[in-house]
Amino acid sequence: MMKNSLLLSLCFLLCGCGESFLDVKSNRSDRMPNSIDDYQALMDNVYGVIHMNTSHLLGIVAGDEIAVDEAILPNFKPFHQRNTYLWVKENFFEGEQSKDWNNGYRRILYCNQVLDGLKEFEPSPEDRDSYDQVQGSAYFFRALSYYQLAQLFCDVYSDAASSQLGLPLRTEADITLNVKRADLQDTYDFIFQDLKMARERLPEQPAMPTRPSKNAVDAFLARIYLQLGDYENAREHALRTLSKFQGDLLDYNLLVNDPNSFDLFVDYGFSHPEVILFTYMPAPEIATLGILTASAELLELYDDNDLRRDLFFRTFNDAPVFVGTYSGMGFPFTGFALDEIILILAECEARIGNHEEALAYLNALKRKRYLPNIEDFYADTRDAIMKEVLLERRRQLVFRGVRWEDIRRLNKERTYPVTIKKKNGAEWITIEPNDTRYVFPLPENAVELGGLEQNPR
Amino acid sequence: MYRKSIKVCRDGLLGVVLFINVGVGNLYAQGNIWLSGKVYSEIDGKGIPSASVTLKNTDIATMTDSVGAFRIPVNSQRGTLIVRHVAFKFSEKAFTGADRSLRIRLEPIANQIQEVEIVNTGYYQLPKERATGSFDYIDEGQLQRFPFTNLIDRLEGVTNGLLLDRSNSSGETTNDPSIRLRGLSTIESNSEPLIILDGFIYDGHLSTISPSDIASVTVLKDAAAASIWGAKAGNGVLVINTKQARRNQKAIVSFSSVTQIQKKPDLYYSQHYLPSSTVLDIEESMFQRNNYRERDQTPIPLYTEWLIRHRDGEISTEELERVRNRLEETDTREEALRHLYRSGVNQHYDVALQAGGDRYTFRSAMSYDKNRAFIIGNKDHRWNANLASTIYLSDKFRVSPSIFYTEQGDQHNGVVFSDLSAGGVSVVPYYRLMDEAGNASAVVSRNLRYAFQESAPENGLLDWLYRPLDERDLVENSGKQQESRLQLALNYDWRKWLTLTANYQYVSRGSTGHSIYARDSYYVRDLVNRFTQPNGEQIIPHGGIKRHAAGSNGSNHTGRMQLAGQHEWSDRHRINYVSGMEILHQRQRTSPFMMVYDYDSDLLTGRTNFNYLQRYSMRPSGTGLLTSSGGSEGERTNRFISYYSNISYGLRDIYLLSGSIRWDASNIYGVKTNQRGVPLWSLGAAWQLAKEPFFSTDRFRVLKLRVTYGSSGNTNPAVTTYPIISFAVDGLTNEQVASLLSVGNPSLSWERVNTFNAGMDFASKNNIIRGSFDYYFKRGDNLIGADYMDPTTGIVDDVYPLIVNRINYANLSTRGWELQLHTNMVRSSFQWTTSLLMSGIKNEVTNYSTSDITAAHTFISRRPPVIGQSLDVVYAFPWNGLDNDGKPIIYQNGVLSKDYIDYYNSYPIDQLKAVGSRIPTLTANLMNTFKWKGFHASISFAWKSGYYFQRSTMSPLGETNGNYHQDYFRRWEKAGDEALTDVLPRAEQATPEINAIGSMHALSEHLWEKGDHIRIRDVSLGYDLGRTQLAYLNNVAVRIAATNLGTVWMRNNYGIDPDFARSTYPSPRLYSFSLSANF
Repeated sequence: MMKNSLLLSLCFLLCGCGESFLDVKSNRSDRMPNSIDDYQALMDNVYGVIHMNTSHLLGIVAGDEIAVDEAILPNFKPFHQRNTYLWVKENFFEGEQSKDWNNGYRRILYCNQVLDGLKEFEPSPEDRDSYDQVQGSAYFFRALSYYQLAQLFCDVYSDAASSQLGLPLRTEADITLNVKRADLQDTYDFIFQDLKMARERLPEQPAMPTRPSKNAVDAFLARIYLQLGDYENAREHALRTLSKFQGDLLDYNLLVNDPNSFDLFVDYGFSHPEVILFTYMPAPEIATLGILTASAELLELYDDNDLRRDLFFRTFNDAPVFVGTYSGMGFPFTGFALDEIILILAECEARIGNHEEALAYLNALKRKRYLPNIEDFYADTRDAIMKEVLLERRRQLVFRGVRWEDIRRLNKERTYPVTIKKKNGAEWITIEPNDTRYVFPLPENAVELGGLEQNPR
Repeated sequence: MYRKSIKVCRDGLLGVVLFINVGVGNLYAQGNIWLSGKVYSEIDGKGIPSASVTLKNTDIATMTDSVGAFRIPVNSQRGTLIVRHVAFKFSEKAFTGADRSLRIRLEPIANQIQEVEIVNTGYYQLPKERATGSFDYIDEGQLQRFPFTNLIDRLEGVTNGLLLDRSNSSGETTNDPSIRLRGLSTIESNSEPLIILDGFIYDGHLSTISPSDIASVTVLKDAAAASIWGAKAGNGVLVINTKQARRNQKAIVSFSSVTQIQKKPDLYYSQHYLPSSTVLDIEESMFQRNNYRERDQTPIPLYTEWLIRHRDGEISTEELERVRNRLEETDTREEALRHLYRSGVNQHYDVALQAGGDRYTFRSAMSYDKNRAFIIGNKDHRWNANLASTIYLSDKFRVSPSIFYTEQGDQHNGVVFSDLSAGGVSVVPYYRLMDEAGNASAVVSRNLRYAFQESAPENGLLDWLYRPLDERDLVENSGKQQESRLQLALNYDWRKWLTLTANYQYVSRGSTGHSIYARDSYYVRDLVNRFTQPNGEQIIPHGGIKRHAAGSNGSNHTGRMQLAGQHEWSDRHRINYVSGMEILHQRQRTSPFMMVYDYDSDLLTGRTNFNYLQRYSMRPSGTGLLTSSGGSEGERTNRFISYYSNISYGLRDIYLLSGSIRWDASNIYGVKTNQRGVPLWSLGAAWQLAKEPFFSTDRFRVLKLRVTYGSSGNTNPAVTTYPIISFAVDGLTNEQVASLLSVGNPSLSWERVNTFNAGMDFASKNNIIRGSFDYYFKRGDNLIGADYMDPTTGIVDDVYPLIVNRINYANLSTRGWELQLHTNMVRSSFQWTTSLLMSGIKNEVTNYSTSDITAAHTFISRRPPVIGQSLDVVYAFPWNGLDNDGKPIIYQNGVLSKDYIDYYNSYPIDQLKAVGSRIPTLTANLMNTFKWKGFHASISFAWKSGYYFQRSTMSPLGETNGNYHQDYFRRWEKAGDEALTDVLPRAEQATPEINAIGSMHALSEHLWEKGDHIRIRDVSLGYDLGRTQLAYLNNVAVRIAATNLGTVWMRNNYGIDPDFARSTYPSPRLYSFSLSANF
């Protein structure tokens, strides 16, 4: 009887401990996000999600900076990258998915997940700063993702924006919601709204260049206003950035050119002194060397005194590859940096009519990019200054994804239009400034599964 | 002295527990009464000499005479006789004063009769005749029919409803087949049956278990049978029991040895082949058309390299001709058969000692398997050792400790035929692997141009040529797995109506592996050369490289408490019951792989101090980082708690009712406490019609009707109701970062499988014919699966880390039938038995609720579930043949069309052709066994039907991509050929139209062939010596057998074995010689 009661009591013991027995995590690396640190860790997912694979792929492949090995084109996969390079009109994606779209909307899901999750929290006073940092980051990256997608899949902003097609604006993490495309006005309004929320919450200076700050918000706003043609506002935000940003322009005369290195700025890692916010993308598959190759047209923009010609480009496998990226690891940098802010200021001042200021900004940059003792640039017409500013943008902001945005806004404005010419075998492909192909079709699976309205092409 | 006595005896072969209730009544101990009788064999009715007959609980004993007769003095009117004989099963016979001449039938040990089948659910055992559920029982004899090394192969063909789907094997890789028991009951969760080994859930690999230790396998098929295993039993259960000794058994040493010879593979089977002269012609014409791109990183066929040299004036036309003539005479398949393959030899030895005393039993066994594969350089081995014992501390209390250990190792250094392809599907047919001097010849490598590799030494690089025959001595790929199982069972028979048991099992297993590449191996030379910088600096030192494979180890603890018993009253009612709780803890750890450079396998030194972050220039092009390690540490813990009860009631053993209930809970992450558990139940009833008094015909010995219904479940550890994030360290910032793995699904619920089963068992009076028929219907509800989402939601399936959204989205119903028919003809000493197993099965998606795919080609490749269709159905573009331009005839909206691109991209899905199931829906196995004196012979056939397989063909640009196919000779060449062939003409250049035509052709219905076929599963011939002249040598048996004998009939006309439709060759024929004996 003794044994029986022993067994029975053991039985009850086991039943009793059942509840906590099942509380153990199945996968030890997994957890439900339930703290500010957890959400910060989601927003810090640099290498995998938030900062890598920014939505610039289609623009860079379609644009006029890239050169590819033409011989590989006929059988090249992914097909849609070849179709992008060759500006194919019909059957653009050939059943393939868009990395730009997928990565963009995945970032938006992360941000929405963080924003939804943070609503459950009432932070204690000492947690207030970290709470604001996470929430601000989520607003910032959601705005950034929508902005990047709008540059690829929507037409350039115009006065008729409320009748132009925008993006599906997902504002909650709930994946069961079906969201249709908003108009372009609403899309930009939403981006501005998010940036307003972000600016209220983010700190002046970031803890690290992968985390957004007020500076990053201003740099971003300067870029958006430039895109929208609102030069006053663009100047204002660029000036705010310039006044608060602690980094400084790097003098390229001080750089050592290591002919065996593929990263000019490798020593800085992801903390290049000009970087305001760090994001990047891997080279597209169509760059078969693993590194982007510059087009002949781009290389011609640099004269003998320009340090960047030798610093930025190296001949590798008979191709001029770009090694001057600010990512410090060979991948194209696509974030915000001080050099772009200076160039935005130069352009805004020129367009507003402040030639002296425009020249001052332009030369401030040039002095750090050319051999010493080279005469400053001078011109007395707005047109001449503008042309030089635009050229300088091309020389400096190589493979940042900015060129695609510039081509689109300049073509819309029509004062300094761009015609893209590419060679495919014996034939030349010419894309006129007003071509409808400057708006990419939405990926087929998004149209099919989400019931979205397709862009004309 | 009125008492009931319970005797429990364990039968070693079956694990039978018989409850025998004897000796109730008055005892008259006055005077001697002589009782006489005869002991005879149940099989042939002949008397058994030299059997011992003992009066129970006394010392009174005698022996039977030469005709099996005996006379024994008894001291009471009632009692029990015990009859023992070494070749027969132990028997007890109760007698009363009225008996004067007893006839005692003994059942031979070697020829067990199916009717004593005991079903073992892992929790309890009961005679099959008292079961309501659908069980299959496979005894040792059936398991030993062909001595496959792996247990699962031995179950195929003897288990009705068990299907091994081998369609996951292609080329020369043979993967473990996926196991389906009674079809599918889930879509994305685990679809394989649960394995129970010696009463515990076994989550290891079946190949770990030595089949020579297995006594029997019980297959639990329907709800009443399986629901006792609850939430994991939705796919059926295989209960495996190892051999045990029995009490009061004299010591027996048994020994067996098996030698198997496997032939070289049939390389002439594959259709991906064109003769050398044809390939040389193709290369010449492509060369003239300038089709080859002469770049360092692009492999060019070997003959074309000669053509280039000739063009460049490096060799004369005569020399080119000599080269061509030599290549034309070469056949790579012959070369491969000579140099890469051999006859495989598998050896198996096992020895076991078992004995039983009054207070103990034990069995100890060891086995060793050594397999030399038919691929030169590949081999594996397995060691098993175990000890199982029971100690009877008292009549009521026993303790059973046991221990099992397995070690497996393998080496796969071999080079196979398909390794010779330079990236394409086919192998160039003109390769020589060894030159006249006996040195290994070089072939074109996968991703570099031969001429570039050949010129490496001139450029200051290491020799860069790939010589397949040298490689297998320079590379060591090996793996090792270990597993130990420790078990302890306590059994306390407190009362007849209550037995208490406590069981505990600990399992520990681990696997490791490594690859060592010698300094001169191609792997090392290739890597060193690729990372040699323009200034000649070698980033990777020219030394050996060792790659530690990602490892894993795990452990399980299982504990169980159980109460069981039975109660009988009024000689009419009997109830059996069992109730208990089980607790399971599983932990699995994984570790990443790691590279050690400059490795010296003699001194065991190596280096890892490199700059893994620096991007280096690589040859011939591109840049890259050094590989250091990959994967990450992981730890997974699964915990389950289960409570279960099973009760069965029998009225006069004619009317049987059973019921079970079980509650499972687990720590599957994110599930709220009240959602963790799932209650599952079953009900069953059976009617032993043949035992009814009114059932007057004596034609049937058994006629039983049974019907059951119940639910079991299925687990999917990948699901969660809440968002889940996973942590890692960022490769760039070194900060701790999180990835979203799941956004969570608050409406998630358990998968549930409801099964209805109705069956009939029958046996004729003389046992000449017996069998069963079952009809079942399974309905999987709330099946969980990954949802194909609109990418705009952020749930995308092409960028990592993946976020998978799993929802309960579908209902699946499966219905089928199973027929078993056994006949047994005995004509004096000649015995002929047949057994026929047949089953038919169909599944249908009955509810499905995800978004649709609209592109036809995506739909064909993804095969999403469609309501009203089978989950196994395959779709294809319709095929109307070729037109007189050699292009497919297509219709768009009913009108003849030429727009192939539009057709391919926007063909409506609802007009796709649903070809049929890719899994057999009708199968049968027929086994014939003949016995005459000690000889026996058997032949077994398998029939599969009601399904389709896809044959390969040649694509329009196939030969230019190095994809050679025999269909090349059947291609369309001129107008009129379309009447004879469906093979597209060859194209000279890729155009969007050609691509569309080729893609659509490859997805068309005409490539799907009916898979119906009959094969000889195995044949065997054996001789049992039985007892020999030598007293200490018994049961000597020899047997020869053969398997993989191919088909005797196929529906398709292409000579393709449907079981090996995508393989380079079918499994080579296997001959087996085995010998066993007892001492």
